[in-house]
Amino acid sequence: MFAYYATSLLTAITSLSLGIFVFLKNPKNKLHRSLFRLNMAVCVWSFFLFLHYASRTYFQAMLSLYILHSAVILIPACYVHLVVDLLNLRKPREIKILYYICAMFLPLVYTTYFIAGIEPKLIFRFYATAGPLYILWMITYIIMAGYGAFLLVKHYRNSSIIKKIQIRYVLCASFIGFIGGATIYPLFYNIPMLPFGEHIIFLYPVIFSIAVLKHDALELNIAIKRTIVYSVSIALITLTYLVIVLLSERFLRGIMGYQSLSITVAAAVIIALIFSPLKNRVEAIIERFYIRNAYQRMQKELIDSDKSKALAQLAAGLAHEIRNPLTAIKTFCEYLPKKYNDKAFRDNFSRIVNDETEKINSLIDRLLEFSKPTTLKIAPCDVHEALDYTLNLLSAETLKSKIDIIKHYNKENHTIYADSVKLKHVFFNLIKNSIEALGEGGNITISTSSVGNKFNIDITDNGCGIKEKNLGRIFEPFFSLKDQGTGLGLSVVQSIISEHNGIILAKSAPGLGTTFTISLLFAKSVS
Amino acid sequence: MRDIPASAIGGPVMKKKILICDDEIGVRESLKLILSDKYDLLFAEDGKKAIDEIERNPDLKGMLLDIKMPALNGLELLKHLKRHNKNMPIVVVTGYQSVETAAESLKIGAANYITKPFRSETVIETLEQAIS
Repeated sequence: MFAYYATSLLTAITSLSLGIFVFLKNPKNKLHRSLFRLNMAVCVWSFFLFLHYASRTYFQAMLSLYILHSAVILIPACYVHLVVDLLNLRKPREIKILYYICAMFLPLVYTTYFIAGIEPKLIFRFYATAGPLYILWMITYIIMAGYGAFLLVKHYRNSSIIKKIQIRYVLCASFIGFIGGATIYPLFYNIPMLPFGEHIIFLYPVIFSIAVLKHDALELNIAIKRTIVYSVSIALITLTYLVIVLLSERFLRGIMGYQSLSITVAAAVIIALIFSPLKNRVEAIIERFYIRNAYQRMQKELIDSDKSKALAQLAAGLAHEIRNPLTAIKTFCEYLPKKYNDKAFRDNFSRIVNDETEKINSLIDRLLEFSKPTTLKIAPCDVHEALDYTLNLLSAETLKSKIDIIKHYNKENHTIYADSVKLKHVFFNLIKNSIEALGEGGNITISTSSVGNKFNIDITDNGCGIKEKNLGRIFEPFFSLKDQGTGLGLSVVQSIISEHNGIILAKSAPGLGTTFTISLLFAKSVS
Repeated sequence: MRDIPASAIGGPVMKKKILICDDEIGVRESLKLILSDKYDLLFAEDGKKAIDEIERNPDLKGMLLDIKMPALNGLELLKHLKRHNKNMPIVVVTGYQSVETAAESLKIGAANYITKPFRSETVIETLEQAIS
């Protein structure tokens, strides 16, 4: 029985906290508002279900049953509303009709046509028995839930990658919510089956929130963590309270006379004393067993979604870049039959077609470098050695351009787990960029430092700098500020650093210079 | 980069002077191949050089202009020219096959646009229509 108290309360807490969190995150967003509505309906339903289970009198049980049904009849309409908003469909009239249909059941809830009565069933002190019209509500529930799921499946194929992930989450949550919820009803018809599906319903608001906040995965991570911590803490405290009450009933009643007020006060004191350490303990355990994995998974999803965006930009950029050489080849081929006997044309043809084909080839090489799924060869890598190796490769250019290299290497550990070849590629691109930004003269300063489990590398030049409006775009594929640049260098650099679970940041002031900061993990942790 | 003047190629008829502004040598060579029989061509590799050529050649009759270029891109150059009342017909040549880019260039004041890779007839017809 305790399990039913706990899970209904847990569902109420998760739906309330995540509903409010999502709503406050962006109250103007219609999808956030839809999730808030659905979560509030689920919250009222599950909270009054908790009170219903805990009821000691017929009146309490009936009252809580009426209130929970007033909320539950709105859930299917709220659900379809959320699906429609998620898919960005315009169905305001249909949604209104669904709400009206649900609202039509409201007056019925308080009659015996809907709930014939309550009586003890299986382990429950009070459990409802369905009235003759309850079946109508069941059919409506199934049709609306099915309609929502149908819309999701129908629009799945033509959705973007991110939307597909959201749809998958919503389908999963729908399955859990509606199948879990469906197990409540057999006992309404005196079929002796416990509503065991109720124990998983608390996952329903959690998964819905993940779906809605797909782009804010890290913040959601914090919200889920807090929700879990408080839910588990409250469940443990409820358990403590019940244990105290039960023990008091059994052992103290005979000895000192049972006084419920004094027991409640004693329980409150004990709970007040244990709440904070208990919460901290729960937090630590959840941090260790759940959040770390969730965080890593979400971080990977973020990187994957960034990569998808990058690949989309890449495709758009490729279309443009490849059209230039294609234009030249096409035009010269078009004129070949007409001007075949013109030696000057033939020479030009040979030169242009060759050069332009080479351009396409080198573009494809660089593209493959960016987009091919790379397997990192992770091994201990001496960062200073990799930096020196790269500086040596570029020494002819730095000498020619009269650029001074200033090194501030840290003296502590400078061996990290990384792919040394790819890291050299990163350093090569960044230092080459600095050389180009400097033109002639100037300094490139390379500093390394370690903070905790992170190893940082700063590459700074005092060159022309990057304007603020361009700084946010420098890692985009095909975004180039150089006349001859392909715009792939820095996107490749970012891609390599992401694969190492690292971060790269750029700071710049026009006329003063630019600093690229790379932060990598010492440990063997790569995506 | 100035091409061979019309007088050197021969013929008493004065050819109309057209400026081709594109950062890609392959595209410049292609347009030269298509148009050099009919027009006296001038070339610029970027927007800034195009402005210099326009200042030096007040008798320019038209311009073929790429959108994506370093220094000053095609749309910026178009805006600059309109601000300075340089009202010669400009045909935008773009690799962006999006309606938005074409619409934007027409809104700013381009006479027409063609997309890469282009057909030689399209280039000739579009330019003729624009400067006639």
